[in-house]
Amino acid sequence: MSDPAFVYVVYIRATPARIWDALTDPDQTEKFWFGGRFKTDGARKGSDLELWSEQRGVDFTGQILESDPPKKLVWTFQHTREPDSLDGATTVSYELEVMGDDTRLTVTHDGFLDNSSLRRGVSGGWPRILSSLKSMLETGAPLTRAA
Amino acid sequence: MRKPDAVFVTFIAATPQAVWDLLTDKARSPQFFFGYVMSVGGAAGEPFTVTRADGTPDVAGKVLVHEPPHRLRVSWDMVAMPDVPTAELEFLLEPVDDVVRLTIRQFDGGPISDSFVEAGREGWSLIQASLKTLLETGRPLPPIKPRPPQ
Repeated sequence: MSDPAFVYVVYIRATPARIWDALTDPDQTEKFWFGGRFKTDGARKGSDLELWSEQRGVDFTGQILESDPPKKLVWTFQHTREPDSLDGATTVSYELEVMGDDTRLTVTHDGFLDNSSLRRGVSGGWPRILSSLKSMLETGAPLTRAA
Repeated sequence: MRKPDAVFVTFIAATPQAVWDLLTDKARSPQFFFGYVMSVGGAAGEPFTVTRADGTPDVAGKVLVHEPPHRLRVSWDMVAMPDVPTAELEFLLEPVDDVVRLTIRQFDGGPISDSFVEAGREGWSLIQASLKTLLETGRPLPPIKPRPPQ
């Protein structure tokens, strides 16, 4: 048995290219992702990645499995402090689809163990991060205190 | 307490009162409810309805809990689909740091098909994104029609 994937859908008034840039540029992720810099080698397939912040150091590491800008990015997620992650990496995918003048961003985080404390943690984290991303792209200001 | 069958969470730079006022404002509801009119009675026991732009009733129900500006719960009957068991929807508005956490909790009345699960996710994700954009920018999201259940 394993817990179901966590799926979050958010609609953003921005182009897929702009959202892709925000998700893969450490200078931008720092503003909406709990102060974390999402560091990769150009978000290329096979690239190692980490989320690093001055306050907490490295939150998670991983590797880009699939990169099809600006439509799809799939990467592994191994948390550095959650015991669940010791059993293996989970997988995150971003899918971006144009919907008229908006973009639908679907984030799917999968591969959890049964009764996963990691899943509970990311279920609280993703809505904050993605709400802040949406605010940043639509208003210019991330949700400062919430993410 | 029963666990919800689906939960949708978003964070909005606004006060709980501003979110409540928008959520219960029939005149502004088409701007966040893909053109439908949502009418929320002002007290528990009063009607709750959703009506399509052409006037066709979509959802009929009742207000079950009316606690401004933090908690609204309604019953939810799909008018054109009497076989779908009555669901309940709850909206929770909580201050978190300087913003509001809006939690939409869906309690199905019984087993529903995967296409309904998917349609619910599409619909509520779109509604909460539209509420957030409207409150933060003063403008609605450009209109998107949700995909109907197959």
